[in-house]
Amino acid sequence: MAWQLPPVAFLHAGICVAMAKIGTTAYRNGDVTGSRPLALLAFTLATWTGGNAFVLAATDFAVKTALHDFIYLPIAVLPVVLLWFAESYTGHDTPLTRYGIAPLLVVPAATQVVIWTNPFHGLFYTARALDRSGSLVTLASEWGPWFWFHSAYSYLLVFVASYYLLRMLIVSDDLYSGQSTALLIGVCTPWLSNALYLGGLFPFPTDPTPIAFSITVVAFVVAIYRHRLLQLVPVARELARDELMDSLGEGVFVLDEQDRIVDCNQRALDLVAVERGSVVGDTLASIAPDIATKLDGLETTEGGEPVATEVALRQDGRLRHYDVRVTRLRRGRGVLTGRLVSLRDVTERRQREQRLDVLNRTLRHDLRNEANVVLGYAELGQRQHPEAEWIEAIREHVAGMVDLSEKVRQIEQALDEEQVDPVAVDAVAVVEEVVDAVEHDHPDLDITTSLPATASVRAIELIDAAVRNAVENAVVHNDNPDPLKDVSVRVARDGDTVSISVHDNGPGIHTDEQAVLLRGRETQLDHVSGLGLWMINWIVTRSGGEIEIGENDPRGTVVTIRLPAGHDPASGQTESRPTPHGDSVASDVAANDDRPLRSNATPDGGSS
Amino acid sequence: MGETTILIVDDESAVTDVYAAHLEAEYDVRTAYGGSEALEKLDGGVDAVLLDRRMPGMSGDDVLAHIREEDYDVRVAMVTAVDPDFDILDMGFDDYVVKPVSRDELYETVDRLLTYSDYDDTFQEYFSLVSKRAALETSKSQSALETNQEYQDLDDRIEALEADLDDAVMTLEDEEFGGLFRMPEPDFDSIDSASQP
Repeated sequence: MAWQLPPVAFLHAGICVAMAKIGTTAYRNGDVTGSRPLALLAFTLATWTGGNAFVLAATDFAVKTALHDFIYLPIAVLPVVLLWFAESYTGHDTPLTRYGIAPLLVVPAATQVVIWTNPFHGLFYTARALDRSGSLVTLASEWGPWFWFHSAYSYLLVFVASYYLLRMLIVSDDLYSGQSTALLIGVCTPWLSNALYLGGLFPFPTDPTPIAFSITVVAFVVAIYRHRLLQLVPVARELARDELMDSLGEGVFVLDEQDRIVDCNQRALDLVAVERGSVVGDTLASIAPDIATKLDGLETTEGGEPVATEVALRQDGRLRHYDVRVTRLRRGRGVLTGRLVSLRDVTERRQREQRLDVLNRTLRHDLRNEANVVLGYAELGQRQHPEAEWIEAIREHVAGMVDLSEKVRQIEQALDEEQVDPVAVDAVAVVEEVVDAVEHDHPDLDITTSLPATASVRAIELIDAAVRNAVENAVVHNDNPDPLKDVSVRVARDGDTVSISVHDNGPGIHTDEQAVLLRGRETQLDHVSGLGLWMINWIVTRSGGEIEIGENDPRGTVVTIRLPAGHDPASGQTESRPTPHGDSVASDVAANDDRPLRSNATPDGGSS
Repeated sequence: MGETTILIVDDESAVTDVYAAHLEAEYDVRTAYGGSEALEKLDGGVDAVLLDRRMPGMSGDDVLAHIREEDYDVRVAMVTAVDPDFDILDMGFDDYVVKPVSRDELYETVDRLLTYSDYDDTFQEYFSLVSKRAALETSKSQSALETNQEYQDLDDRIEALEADLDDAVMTLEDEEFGGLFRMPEPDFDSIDSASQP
């Protein structure tokens, strides 16, 4: 037996070793979907390239042809294994494997029989001879009809496998595209080299297909180690998503463009009370008309922002409320679109809100009625005893009660209404109005101010109530007599913020109350003045601002409300509009002396 | 003024009675402790109604609707502890007062209602709309008002009426001015400060 040792034989041997290594690695990761076919693919290639190394090395006709016949075992099986790999990896079944992989192996098996019985019929080779014309001894073959059938069959399978991998490359999102690209290079390189070979454009005298597969090896190695092929194939992620979907507390529907259900989780099926099998492919309108109607009314946003609405569904005879969020899906460069609809049960929250709302309104309503009766009798008493000072005390305390309920209403309005977005407000105008009002209530008091011309801030509308509470707190809890109370309010712009600071010479704010102001936390059962502090905290926090408490020199407290500055200080004064909070409608009407008619009035109208 | 009759309606008898105790000095007062009772006591002799909103059975809103349907020539003020919401826009009251109501406010309200009786439908509509606007402005935030179309319509209607009424005021005779300025509407204050009470 004679042998030659050309470099190309060593190359094949090297590829064989690399493939065997890949195959072993893949086999050890056998618990991951797609690794079994990948291991088999690698072992098949190892056999082919290893066998080919010996074919190239052999110079004896009988040995060379026998080895050559042998490598058609891996050559014929390889397309089937590649298709299996493609199916497992992409998670799609092809029409070819409707009855499993085994039927696809019939042709490769037949090919083996045809090759080994070739001397009797010549269906595979019509003639074979050693070519000793070049520097190497090569085998020259004339092909028979079965060879062409085998080739056509192999091309078909490789084509289908390539198609599925290519399709996944197009529709997959970013995480997988690097991985898919590596796989695609692995798949396409043998195609390309084969085309070049058949077209006579390849410079080597030997079939380059096994060499091309060395590139496939490299590509798969890249896919495995750079893009973690074996740890994170798409199928694994889909499984994880299914698992996650089913364990979610929210009901989730995935809809295509025609609003047909593409997917949904168990919770969603429970909500609409149907079996899973009957849902996919149906329109949402036929399964859950209530939800579909709600979605029809929704405007979709282009930016992928979820849109929210609410729906009430009857479940086991009880009405339950759901928050519905709709997200537009856009996958793989616009190839796939649809909508993700999630439903969250908010019944408990809704009931709690309702309870709070009813309690609040009823309390306020009844309190006002009771206050009205007390006030009415006190005033009747005053007419009979005009000198009685205690009646004035009753009046004041009734007013205090009503103020408290009004405070609750303001808090509710400031924080629970839908439109509580910060607007541009002139902090100076707010402070001036508050100082005027507080001085009006305390005639002996003189509040000093240090204000710029304007200071635009971003704050919710009730910011004046927060400032008023801060100023009133400084006045009411000051233990000095009114004329000796030293209260001052300063407004200053500091970069991106505007600070409103209230200085007093009182006893200082108790630590429990500081906790309310600074952290919004209650440390003990709170007394009434705490509500005002809560109000400051909530309104300032909602406005995106913060509160600071410091000590005044020599005695007292400095409460600083810091708010985000408005964009344009000049526009602050036009946009600012402290809202009126009159005690009653009647007094408010009387105070509105600025209506348009005034400017139209004629001066001579006063002649009567 | 004995012939002027005021009907006070409130399911809280203490509230009704204390209003009555204050107003009896000046007016002929009838009281009702519920919606149906209010309709029983309502006839052509009643000049003004102080009407609570939230009452069991027939509510104040129902009574008001009935009064307007039957076309009674009577002025109605809602005197209530209910915060005004946008639903008041569809109601046919002349004034809206939120409790607690002091003696002075009670008298002011009644005076206002009686003054309204002296004016024609255009003025009455104007007063009614202005009271709605004022009520909403005390209970609603500026942004809530700005985004409510019905409120914007109300505002536009008031402006249109003001323009009409302005023309009407200009053509009035002098003696009619005297009557006009007894009413407490602030919009006309600047026309003649001498006529203020």
